[in-house]
Amino acid sequence: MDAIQHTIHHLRQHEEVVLHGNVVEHSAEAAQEVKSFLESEFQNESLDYPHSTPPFDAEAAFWGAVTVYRAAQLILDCNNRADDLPELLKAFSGDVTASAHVSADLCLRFLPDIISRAQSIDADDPIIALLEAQLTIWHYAGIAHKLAVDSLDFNVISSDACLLQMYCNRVIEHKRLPLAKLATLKGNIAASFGAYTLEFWPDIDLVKDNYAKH
Amino acid sequence: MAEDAADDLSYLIEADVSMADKLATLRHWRNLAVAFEAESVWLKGFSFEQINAPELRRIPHVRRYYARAGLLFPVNSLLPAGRLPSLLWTPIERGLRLELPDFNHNFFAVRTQISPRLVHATEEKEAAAMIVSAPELESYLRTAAVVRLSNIRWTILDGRDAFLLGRPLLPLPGAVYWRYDDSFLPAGLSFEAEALVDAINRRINDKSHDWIVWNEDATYFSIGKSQLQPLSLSSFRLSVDKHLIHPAAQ
Repeated sequence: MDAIQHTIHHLRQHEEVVLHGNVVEHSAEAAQEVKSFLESEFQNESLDYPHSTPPFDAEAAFWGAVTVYRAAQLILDCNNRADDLPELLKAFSGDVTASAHVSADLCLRFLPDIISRAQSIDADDPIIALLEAQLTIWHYAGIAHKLAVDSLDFNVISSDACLLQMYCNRVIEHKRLPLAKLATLKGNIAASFGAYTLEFWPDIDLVKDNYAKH
Repeated sequence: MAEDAADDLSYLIEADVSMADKLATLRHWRNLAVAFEAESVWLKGFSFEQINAPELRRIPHVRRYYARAGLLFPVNSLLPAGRLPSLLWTPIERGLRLELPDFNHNFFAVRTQISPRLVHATEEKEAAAMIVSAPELESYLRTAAVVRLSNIRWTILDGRDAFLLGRPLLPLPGAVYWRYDDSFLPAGLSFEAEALVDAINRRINDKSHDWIVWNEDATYFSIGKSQLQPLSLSSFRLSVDKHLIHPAAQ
């Protein structure tokens, strides 16, 4: 098995990043194996997805895995990298659809933790800005990271009932008040709580006026 | 500062010693104390409500007093009748002992059994659990927010219904139960003889390993506490597949 396979398996099963040597590249077989592994992980997870699950997007899932893997490698080994940083952390080449969001999220959800780790090592690391730019596009995976709410695009999120509900679930889980206040989400979030808003999230009382209007 | 006249009052009663048995009906007022003189028995520590309560007024030949500044006044009188006696007071539970009747060798009702019964309750109780049909639950879970399920644990009953435990309950139609220790009773009903609840629980759920769910006709079924799982859509889907029922097909 390639280094990336070990790392991604361990990441999904133990929620820890373990790096095996400083290998940034991977073979075609390894790519194939990681994709099928992520697909089975997606099938397991999608049992818990509300409404109808968007289809699995193998390319997006694999891109997310590679991004997380390389980000971890590059943060650890900051001596060897130079100008090829943007090249190694390329943006996703396909379309950003609901499928792509939920598939890439399998690994990308760990990126906020990796970024905060990078910040604690070196707050001026150029990789942080690069990764944050990616999270701004893939902000379903980046809810835990405090992104600027204005720069987020909700067209894809609100187009899919499953993704929208899961987005709201995660906003509630991380208690991200700025996101909960957004017009796109607040109706759905209020509906999620039903009559028990204050019981589940007392702070949301701060935006009570907003809630009364919708 | 002037003394608070109302606060200063303490009420006593005096009766003949022969009345002591009758006074024993007041034993459940734990605040009372009792003392005996040669001819009479004294009780003290009554509150204003107690000195006027029917339980006391229906005992004959009782003289009621209030005491102020060491003097004894008959109730409703402003003239003192004497000095406050100085006596040795004991709590009424020890002072007026209960006498158990002698063992009755001709009593044959020992084997008589009482069945638990549920009656309409007068007190309002908070719902703590509910039973809903599996199809209803599934259609709710398909759109539900995770946060609404976070406090709820569940199990399947008979492959058809689901038992949900936790608050706040889900907004679904179904039978609602309130909790009494390890028992769940239908909303609006409670045990006819609450004193027996502990005995019943010892009998059917000695180790407290189970939840006891009562039906309206006072039959019950038990659910192992360890059988309950956190409720989630995947938990539901996996369990329902395992039980080979499919709500959609019903």
